[in-house]
Amino acid sequence: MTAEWRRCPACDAFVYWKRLKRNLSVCPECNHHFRLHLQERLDQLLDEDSFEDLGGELESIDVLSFADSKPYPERVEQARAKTGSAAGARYGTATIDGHPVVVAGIDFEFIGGSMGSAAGEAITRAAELALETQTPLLVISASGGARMQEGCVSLMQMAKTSQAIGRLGEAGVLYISLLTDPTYGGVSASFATLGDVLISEPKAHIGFAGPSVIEQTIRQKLPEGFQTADFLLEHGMLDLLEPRENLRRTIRNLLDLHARAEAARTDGDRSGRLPEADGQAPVDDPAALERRDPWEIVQTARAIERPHTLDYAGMVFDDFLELHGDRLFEEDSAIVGGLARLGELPVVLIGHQKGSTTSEMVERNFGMPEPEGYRKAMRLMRYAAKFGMPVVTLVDTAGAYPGLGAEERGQSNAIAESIMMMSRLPIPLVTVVTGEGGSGGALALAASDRVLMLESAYYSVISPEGCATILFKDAAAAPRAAAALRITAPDLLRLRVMDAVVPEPEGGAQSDPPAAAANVKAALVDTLSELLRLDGDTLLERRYDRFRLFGAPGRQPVLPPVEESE
Amino acid sequence: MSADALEEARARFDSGDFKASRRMAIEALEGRPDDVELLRIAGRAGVELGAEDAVDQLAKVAELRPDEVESWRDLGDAHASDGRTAAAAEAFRRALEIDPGDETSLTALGHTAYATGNEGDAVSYLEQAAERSAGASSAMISLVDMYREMGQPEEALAAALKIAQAAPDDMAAALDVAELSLSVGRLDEAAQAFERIREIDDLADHDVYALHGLIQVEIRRDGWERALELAREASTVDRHGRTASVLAFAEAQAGEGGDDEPPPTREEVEGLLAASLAEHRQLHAEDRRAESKELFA
Repeated sequence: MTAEWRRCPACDAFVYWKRLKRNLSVCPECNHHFRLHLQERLDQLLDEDSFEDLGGELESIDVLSFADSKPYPERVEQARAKTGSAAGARYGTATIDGHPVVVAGIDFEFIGGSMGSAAGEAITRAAELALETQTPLLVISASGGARMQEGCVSLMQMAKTSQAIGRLGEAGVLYISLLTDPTYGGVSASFATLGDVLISEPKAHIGFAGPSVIEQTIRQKLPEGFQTADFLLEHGMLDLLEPRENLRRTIRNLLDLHARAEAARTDGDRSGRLPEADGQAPVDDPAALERRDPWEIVQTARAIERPHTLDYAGMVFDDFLELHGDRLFEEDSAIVGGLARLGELPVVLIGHQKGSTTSEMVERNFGMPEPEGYRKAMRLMRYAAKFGMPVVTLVDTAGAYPGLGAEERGQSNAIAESIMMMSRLPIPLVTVVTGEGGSGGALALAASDRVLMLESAYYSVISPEGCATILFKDAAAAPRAAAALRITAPDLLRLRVMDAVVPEPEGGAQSDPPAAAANVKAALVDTLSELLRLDGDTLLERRYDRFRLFGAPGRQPVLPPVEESE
Repeated sequence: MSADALEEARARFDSGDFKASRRMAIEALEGRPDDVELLRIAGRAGVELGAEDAVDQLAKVAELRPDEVESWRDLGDAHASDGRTAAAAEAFRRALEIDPGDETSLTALGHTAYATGNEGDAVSYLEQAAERSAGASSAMISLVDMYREMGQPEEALAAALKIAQAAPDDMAAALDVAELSLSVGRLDEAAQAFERIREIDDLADHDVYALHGLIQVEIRRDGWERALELAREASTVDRHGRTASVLAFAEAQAGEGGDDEPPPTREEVEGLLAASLAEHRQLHAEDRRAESKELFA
């Protein structure tokens, strides 16, 4: 049934069909994303004429000889006649901007996209082909859930597809999952939410149980936007929420970056992929650093105008693609992270983000993460290790957030797990403390092969104010505490807590962010060029030894009293 | 040579290879820049491809062949595709001056009038377009909504019935007929429509919606025995428990309710059932696809 003028169900405008099609079936008046047939999705995402359909023999199997008001085979025939699709699911090979990809998808038009043997087989065969050919997998989901007419065999498709994805994951092959409107039930509770990257479109409905079931069960009205992709992003369940016009480009960028990462992984000299860097080299001699008042440095480190992680992401790296969520509870924007390039070398960049305006600072909790922030960081670090990418962390936090919810959700464990995880990742890890290195909340992102700091940053077990109150019994003694704690660059170099110091321009990083960024870039290039030459086992051994020395008799450097140092 | 090029370009266009069609036409136009047929094909293919200069090519055709209805129709199509509503309306008006019965132009003007708030003109154009088509046309489909919004449910129902007759498997039409029949009190037609919905809606869990619709019909009729029977059936298929209140109400009305709790009111139950119908409509809101009929004869 067709209509030349289509009414938008969101804004009620009548839109001319060609205008709608030209706009990728997104209402030009209100941006409502219309549902697409699977073929339309493929047309929009894949290179023209690149799709080779390999699913010709897929078919729904009437395993139960099922009949309700009509026999199951009759329903399948009706669906075939209605949709022109043999099985309601397809898979094959294609390219996206020349990048090879294995693609699979489910068509919601075919019996509500329900997953039975045919859909399960399509997804599984696609995953198996991706594994065999070491080609990234893209799965496009749209489903109401399992197909009841195939009973437990439908249920088993969840296991069949998930194990295929698991095997693919163990082989380090990228799996991008595009969840479209709607994706529910057995599909969302299996392969669809197992992607390395989960992408969706605005307002797409995604969930496990349907909203009506939930409302009837809990006898409460559900919040506005419940189970929309926007809601899922907020609750940490999606990496990316992209308007339809950006989908092809975003997927293409992911494929491109991963192709580079794969090429780098097999490259004998990965350091050759690093860029030329014009900034000042890092300093590893404490005598070469200016002695400054520690309290003045603390004030500088805390300055709102200092560049933060997202600023450095734009100035130091290329093509930063922020990935969101911890896939457990919530998106914590006090920590940001994602994929980036340092020259031709793909990396995972993670860092604290304080915010520059009042509203942003509030939104980002002033850069003080809750457990979700650390769990997001860990998820991204596992991602990096899976695909052999170095991790760069930029640390700038007053500390982990000391809140009720944070404690309820395991702030201690999150920090502990992050530290331990970093210690065991067989990939290069570099940290730069760019502002405040606030205790455990900072260390959770800083258990790295090399830890550097900006000249006007500080790193401390406790804030000077906290130390003043507890040990000096006087909050006003914070400047004295700052000096006593030895939290600035020269002393931290001597203690070997820091490996090198990144120079800042006159007046601090905030006075000339591009210059500061150039120096950070130079430091990263210098550090990574050394680390990239080391294999995973060597990195682990040396990292272990780096942290082993702290407090070890005979190995731990000891600083003379403050007066003697000056 | 030019005639061959034109034929080949047309053949490619008809087969859907718009890129090749346009390329051939543009190549041929280099030697014959004012060839109307080449301009037409280049422009039409350009519209399909979203080419920026397509409207210029078709504007030139309209300038060279101002007495041909298709010249203005093509131009209107190009403007409408780019979202230039006023320009599209002007072009379709010119088409209508040449052929007052042109269905495409009437349909387009109906929608462009609606977009500018002229509901009366919109309905007038669409009614004329609908008269010229066989039932399930774009004009007729839009008229259902427009009549409904203008508080003319009987007219909306008449249009919906024509669509349902022409496209008996169309869920949106069946829902329109059911809902509108209910609203104007044509209960037998409403019941038939809900039964039809039960037949054509093959999505799991959706049977309950049609059953809720049938219960609404019986409530209107004070048919409590039948309402109770339907409510019991709905309860067995309603995984979401929405029918519980409806069942309690029906039991009470049929004299079979217990005395434990006061049953819901008729108002509450009708509200629940109306919400169910709205939810069902929402779930099928995008079943209809947007594609063209044959614009170019």
